[in-house]
Amino acid sequence: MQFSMRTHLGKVRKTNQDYIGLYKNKNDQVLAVLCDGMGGHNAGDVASEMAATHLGHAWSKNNLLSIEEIKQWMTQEVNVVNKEIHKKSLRFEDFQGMGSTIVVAVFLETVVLFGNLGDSRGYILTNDQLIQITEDHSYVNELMKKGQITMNEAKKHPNRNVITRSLGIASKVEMDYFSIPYTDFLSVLLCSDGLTNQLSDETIHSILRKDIDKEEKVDTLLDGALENGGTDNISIVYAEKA
Amino acid sequence: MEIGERINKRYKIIKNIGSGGMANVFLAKDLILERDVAVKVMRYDFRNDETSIRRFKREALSTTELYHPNIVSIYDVGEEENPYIVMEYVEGMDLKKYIHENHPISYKNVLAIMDQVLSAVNYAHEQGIIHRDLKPQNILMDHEGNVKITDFGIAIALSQNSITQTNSLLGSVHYISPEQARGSMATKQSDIYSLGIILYEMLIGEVPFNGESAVSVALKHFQEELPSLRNVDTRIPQPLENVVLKATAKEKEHRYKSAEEMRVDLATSLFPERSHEEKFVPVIDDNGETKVLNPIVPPKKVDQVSDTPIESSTKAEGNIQKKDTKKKKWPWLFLLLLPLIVGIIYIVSLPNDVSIPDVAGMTETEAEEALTEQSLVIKETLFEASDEFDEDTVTRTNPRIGSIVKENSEVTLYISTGKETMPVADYSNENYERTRAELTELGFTVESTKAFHESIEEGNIISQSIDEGAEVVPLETTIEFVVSSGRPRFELIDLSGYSENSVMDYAEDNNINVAVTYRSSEDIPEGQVITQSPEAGETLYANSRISVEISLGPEEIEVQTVTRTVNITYVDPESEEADATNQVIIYLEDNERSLDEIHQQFEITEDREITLTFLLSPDSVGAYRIERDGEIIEENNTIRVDGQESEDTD
Repeated sequence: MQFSMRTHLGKVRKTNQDYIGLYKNKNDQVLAVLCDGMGGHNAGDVASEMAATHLGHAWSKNNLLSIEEIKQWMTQEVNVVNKEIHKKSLRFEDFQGMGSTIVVAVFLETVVLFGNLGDSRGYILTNDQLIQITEDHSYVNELMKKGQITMNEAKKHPNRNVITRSLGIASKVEMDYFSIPYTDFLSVLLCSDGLTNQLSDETIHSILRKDIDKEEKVDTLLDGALENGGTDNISIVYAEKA
Repeated sequence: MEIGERINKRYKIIKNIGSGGMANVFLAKDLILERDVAVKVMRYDFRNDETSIRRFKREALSTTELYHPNIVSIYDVGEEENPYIVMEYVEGMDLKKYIHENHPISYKNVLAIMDQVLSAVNYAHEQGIIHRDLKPQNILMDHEGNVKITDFGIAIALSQNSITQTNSLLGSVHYISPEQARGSMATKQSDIYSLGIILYEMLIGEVPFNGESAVSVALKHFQEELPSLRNVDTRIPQPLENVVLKATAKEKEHRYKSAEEMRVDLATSLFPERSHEEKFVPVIDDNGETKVLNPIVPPKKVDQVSDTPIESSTKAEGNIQKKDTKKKKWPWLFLLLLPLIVGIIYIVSLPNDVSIPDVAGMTETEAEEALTEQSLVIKETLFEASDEFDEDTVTRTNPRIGSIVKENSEVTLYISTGKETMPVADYSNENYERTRAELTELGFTVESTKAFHESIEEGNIISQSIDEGAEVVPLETTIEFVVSSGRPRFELIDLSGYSENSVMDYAEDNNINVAVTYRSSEDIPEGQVITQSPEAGETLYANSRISVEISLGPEEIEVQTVTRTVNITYVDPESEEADATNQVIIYLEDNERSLDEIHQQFEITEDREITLTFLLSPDSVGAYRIERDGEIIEENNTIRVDGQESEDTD
């Protein structure tokens, strides 16, 4: 796989609270991490950076191979960093209430393993469409899953920004996992809601299907999100088959 | 914020008195007016986000117009590092804590607190402001038992949709109406739902719907029937439980029409006359439409002895009942008992207390009858606009419906003039977002389409679907705006391969000018675009100019014939042979031939003149070399057309 990634402040925010990273373990397997921090002044970027770098550092030291081992490892490490963020947020007034979403993709031999907390998303790209693999842990998505509101109502809901799982808020977290075989997709996209709130799935799909190199694709996505308002930080990690 | 820090040089922080998801609240000293104030400082700074700042200020300022003894006054709104709101400081505790510390609270006390809450909410509703986030945490109680509602209408100002939040719903979700949980717009009935839940909590000591997550609580609001209050506390009179049930009906149409209606129903819920009422159930009527089975409160005379001061009875002369007049037989006794008798007469002669019947929704005539039946006198009839009551029906009374008054009191009737209309203004060239926010707040549904416009700035309004001056009911009106996307512009396409005519068509379609130049090209077929400026992908506005180069096809090479006549001298080769010859070789270079190849070869025995013919184009150079018996006798490499050759021949 070949990777390309960008993170951008956007046009409105004063700080970039997103954090993205790519890390290799001892077997040269790549872990892609994207975190969207939240809370106060300087707290959100602290939380997202703590989450991504902790996980990346820990990844670089392991040599796991099987999906099951990796899920176990991930759950354990995510809970470790969750506790660290939570403790820090309680200890310092400035950090009160800080937290972060997280979405990861682990590129294994035959499958990609996605994991997430919150509303940052993992997608795969096929010939015809962009498919969201992760399920948002958000108030509106959960109401939608229960059949209480429609997709349209969810998009307009005043509480669409409320997420129901995240790092740093509760004392224990449970990540959801999804594994997708390589044969099912052309490329993989991780992004923060700063991208998906500004660009439709169709637009993202058509940009990623263009005959341009991966850096240009990511730049085009970013430019599109900025043009449509850029009200939030925008982060993109893109992986294409070599 | 640190203790002692000053906000805007005016408000000196004394201590933190609360932290919420979106804001911290501080007790502060207003150094100018020398009074204690509460300052709510938003946690998020949207310094770069002008729209949000404007919205926050507008929302917060709209509530500064609320003056009511049971609503916390807003004094000031501003932004320093973060936006803040300065408001009345209420010393005491919030209702959540009050319930926690005082449960069980006497019904009488519950009613007294709710009466203040309801009259405040009703007042705000009449001003067109919906709270949207009523919960015990927003209801403050001072030490005298006065109730003050805070955060009126600022739920919207406080919400920042683009900022991700967690848990921020948990405080409110227990009180939120099903329609709000679904994301629909909050109405008066949404506030009434929340008030029903608050009433439930005051009576039972805990909220009716609890769960581990905001979602699970929201689901219960949608789906689960409210747990019966009378199952928990059998002493609760049915009419009191009915108030909670009606206020918290799942469908907002089944709830009270107004906070005032709820207040009246609650205020009379403990009257013994009402104790027989049936449990409230919303029902479907014959037409299939849902209708509320409303326990009608028959206006009843109240037989409780009133605490109201005696002087109000002076109007009731002539109503003295003739009792005990036969006691004359014992005048001394009569005299002795006189003060007592006078007292008794005085008491029995008092006019009865009556409650003002619920005349809301009646016609004026019906209301008059209902009031006369209660021996009440209409003082005057006034008109006012009402969203709730049809034209020509009663909206309210003064004193309020349900108030306990003496017989023969004067009552003012208010008659609806129908829904409040307002004239539509001219919004052309106004900022659309700002207009949308203003109109939405007024109740309009606002829609927009985009269009280019030569002079109206991007984001401003070009035209509106309703003419200026039209009188409309905001809540029933959808107004559509055409919003400028700025000057007409488009992305210049790649014109390569276009013919001159197609370029002109394209230019005409997009209203641009084209400057055309022509040149020949080896690669681009004649008549097609070779280069364009600006490049493809550039954004162009109408009337701008592009230039293209059109191919003339490959350059035509004009080959000319140039001749040179040279004289080759015969040299006797000092040989024994009689007819010795000179061997001559001529090399020639032009467009088609090269100096490397022999052009002509012959023998001479005498001088010979020979003419060489060159095929040359204007920029090519021809050359020749003549060898005689292996010796170069003449060469020239400067043959040009037009006879421009320089005379440097050897």
